[in-house]
Amino acid sequence: MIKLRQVTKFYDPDTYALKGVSLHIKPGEFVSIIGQSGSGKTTIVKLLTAEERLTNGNISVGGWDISDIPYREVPILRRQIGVIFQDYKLLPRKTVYENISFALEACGAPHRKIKKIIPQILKVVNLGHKAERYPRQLSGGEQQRVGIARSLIHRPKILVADEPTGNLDLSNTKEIVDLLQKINELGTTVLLVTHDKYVVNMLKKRVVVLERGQVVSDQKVGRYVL
Amino acid sequence: MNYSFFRIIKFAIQDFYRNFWLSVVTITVLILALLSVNILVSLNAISESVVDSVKEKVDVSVFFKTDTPQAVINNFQEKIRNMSEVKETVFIAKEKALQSFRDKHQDDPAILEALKEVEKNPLLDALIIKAQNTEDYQNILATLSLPEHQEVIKYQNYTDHEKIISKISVISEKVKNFSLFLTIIFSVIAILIVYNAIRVTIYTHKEEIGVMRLVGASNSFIRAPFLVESIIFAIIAMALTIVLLYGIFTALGPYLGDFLETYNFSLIGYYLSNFLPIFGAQLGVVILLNIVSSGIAVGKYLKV
Repeated sequence: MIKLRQVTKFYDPDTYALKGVSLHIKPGEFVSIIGQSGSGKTTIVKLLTAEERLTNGNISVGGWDISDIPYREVPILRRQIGVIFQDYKLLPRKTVYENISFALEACGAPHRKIKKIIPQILKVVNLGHKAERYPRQLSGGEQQRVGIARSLIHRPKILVADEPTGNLDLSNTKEIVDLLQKINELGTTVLLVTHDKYVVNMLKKRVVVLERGQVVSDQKVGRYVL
Repeated sequence: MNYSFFRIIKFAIQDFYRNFWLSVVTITVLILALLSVNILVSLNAISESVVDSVKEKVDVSVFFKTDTPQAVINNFQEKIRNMSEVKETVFIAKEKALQSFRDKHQDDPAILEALKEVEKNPLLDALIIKAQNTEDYQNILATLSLPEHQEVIKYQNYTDHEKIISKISVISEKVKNFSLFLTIIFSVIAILIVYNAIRVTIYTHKEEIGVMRLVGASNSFIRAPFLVESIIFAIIAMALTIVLLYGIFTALGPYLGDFLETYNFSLIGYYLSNFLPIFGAQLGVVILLNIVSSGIAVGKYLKV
């Protein structure tokens, strides 16, 4: 599903965010990528969403080589990968409903289809009763759930979560992780980038450890060891 | 069905209302820029009108020798009227001139008494000649000085007029050049003000634009509502400017009324008779400027 081959990302004048990283994530897997700050975790996410361009190597997503993806095709890639951000990245002047529907409206989905799907997705994240609220009227956990709902709207095969529990307390963290597990159980490949020890140890899934831009450990059932 | 088009309009209107105070501020800045341009337009119009009015008062008066036959005078008038430099000619018969003189001095018994003493009409038949442009008087005067015309002309009052005509031409030219210079300066300032106002408005949406890109919206889908919104700003600003101008001119009416009436000029009348050219052009420029500013500003934040 996701293949990274000798991926290197260099920032001027002398920083290697990633150095020769090779990784293969199979369909339906749940993989946690852990590492200290500056180890390159978020860089991997940015490369997968074409927010950054790699310096060397090769990345393919679902068989699509996105190493040199043209600028005009980037929106298409992003509709196929669901992304959850640490800072939620919600549109502050749109309601919960509008934040989620925006992703569908952007690709010209008919109104009827949107009206049908959104309530279903809101039910999954348990926010049906808050559809008309604005992000500022929600708690951190609720905002993140909106982010998750938005990331699922295109029914992506891959979900990338970049420190989704970074700004949340323990109870909200558990809620989000449970949701991610549920999504994975339904067949979506999940790539979770985190530095949260509690989350990693709770999941008991594959763990890839990054250190100074390189993979130092890749365990099928891993624990947080840094 | 083209859902995107209606969604773009919907997003533009939604954003206008949900950022209401930002919209108000942006429109206010546009109005101020438009008002400054229109004040200049008004000043230009008034100064042109004043100069034209003074020019209108300038003419050459030709007084015919006593007992010049009417047929000769008619022939003379026809010749002068046919000159390309001549705008119009008005013949004033000596009887009419005498009656006008009497009416003008009806409260002055000394003059009326003097007229009675003279018995005969002391005034002459006259031809008032107005030129197309002040520069044309030279040619007209040259024609009048021809021997065949001097035969029937007793005298003509052109010497003083010549000086006035020359001065008016110089002043008129200077006023035009200065107005053009001011118009250019004001226009550049107005353009910069409008450009920055729109850029600031887009800047407040910087993060939203980035988020929209990250969730898979295309550049055109992100840009379009901002372009539509900038058009909405332009239209509302123009409409309110027109209303404000009407109010300002009406309020200034009592103060400027006497002055402008002297020159047979009305600001409201001027704007009404040139409504489409003045406001159509301004609206077109503001819309274009808003669209360009919006496009450039949004483009900066689409590099995600």
